[in-house]
Amino acid sequence: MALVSILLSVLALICTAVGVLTTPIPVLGVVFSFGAAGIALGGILLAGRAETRAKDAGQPRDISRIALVLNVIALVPALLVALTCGLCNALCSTGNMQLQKDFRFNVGPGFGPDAGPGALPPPPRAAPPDPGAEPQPAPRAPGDPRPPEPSPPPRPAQPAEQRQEPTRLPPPPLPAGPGK
Amino acid sequence: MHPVLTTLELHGVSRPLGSYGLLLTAALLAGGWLFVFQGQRAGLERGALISSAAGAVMAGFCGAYLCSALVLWVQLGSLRAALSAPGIVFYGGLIGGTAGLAACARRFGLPVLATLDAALPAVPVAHAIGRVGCLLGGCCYGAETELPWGVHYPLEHVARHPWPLYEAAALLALAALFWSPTRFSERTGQRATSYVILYATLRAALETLRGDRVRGLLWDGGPSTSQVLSFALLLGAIAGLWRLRQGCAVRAAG
Repeated sequence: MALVSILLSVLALICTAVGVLTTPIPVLGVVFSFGAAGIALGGILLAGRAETRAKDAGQPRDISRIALVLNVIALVPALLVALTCGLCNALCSTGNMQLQKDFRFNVGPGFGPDAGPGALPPPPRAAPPDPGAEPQPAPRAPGDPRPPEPSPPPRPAQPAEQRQEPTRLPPPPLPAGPGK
Repeated sequence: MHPVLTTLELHGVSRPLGSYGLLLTAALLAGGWLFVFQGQRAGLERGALISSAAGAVMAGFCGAYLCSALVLWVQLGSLRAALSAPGIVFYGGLIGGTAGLAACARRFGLPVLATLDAALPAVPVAHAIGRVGCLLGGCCYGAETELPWGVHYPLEHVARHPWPLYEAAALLALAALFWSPTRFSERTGQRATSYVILYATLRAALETLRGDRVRGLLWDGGPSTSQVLSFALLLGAIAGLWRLRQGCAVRAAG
């Protein structure tokens, strides 16, 4: 039982790593992220059982203790990944996070955001084009053999009262807070 | 509010490290250690305690998710939509965790009521740490206030009650109250029922300071879901305490 528990801790660590890598993939990221935490908890359960059996049989409990420590070590990153990457993946997988539309997390009618009252900004508007701005050169392809165009000379500095502050975009939206 | 602590790099892949996840992990580890420590003080077997703790955490997460889904189901009217929305509710975790702990204790040969008693003060300590994670994560925020200790969330011009800190302080006070294993221990099981009574009362009172309506209200201006659950748990715990007293009285008479 202790050896199975040690194997589970290794499996949990592998699932955690796969969960990190598969976060952008819907459903798969959730399965690996939350599965790793479940496997590590199962390993802790088996380690406890192994300790009880070793005690009852009068055998040394070193292996069961090693299994317990390994599973606790595996549980920490597993939970971190599950509650960060896994939760984010779950939101995306179920379509509850509609970032493309209006930068709001829509859980359903009548629901407000749950990541801070002001954490969800209104849809960002593009900054109005500056009529006096110089036209920017088109971006060059990586393999373009033509020489780069010379950059235009710098414009003279405007007076302070005429200078327009750049439009400040709100910070990116945050995932919904899971706790209630 | 500081939802992302830092960014982790793994073979060129970067992922954010969430404050809520970190604090919840710390809460579970601290709570698990305290539970095993308190159980050993009560003379319970260590291996069975560890196994029961793991089972309780698993059942607690399931209960927390199912409770969240149940609330959403009532509000949305669609079971599929409710099940697909991730979320966890503490009361669901408490109910699921208690049921899981009792089932594991029975399965692994531990006395059920004594094992539930050993979960104190692990539960309030872990819950308090988790509430700090709520504050950093930005969920569970309070109502608007003009008090000097009101906190400002990003993109808001109004101050709000630091509700998670209020509850964390109340939970730490409860943990201090239940720290001594001899307190509320006239009967086996009395510690657990007493804690539920005290916590449900505190929670129902603190709910009035919350500002997030996302958790749902039964009707406008009515009690919140957590207040309804608090009331139900309060009644259940009072009935349990009464039964414990009855059982002791019958044994004494016999």
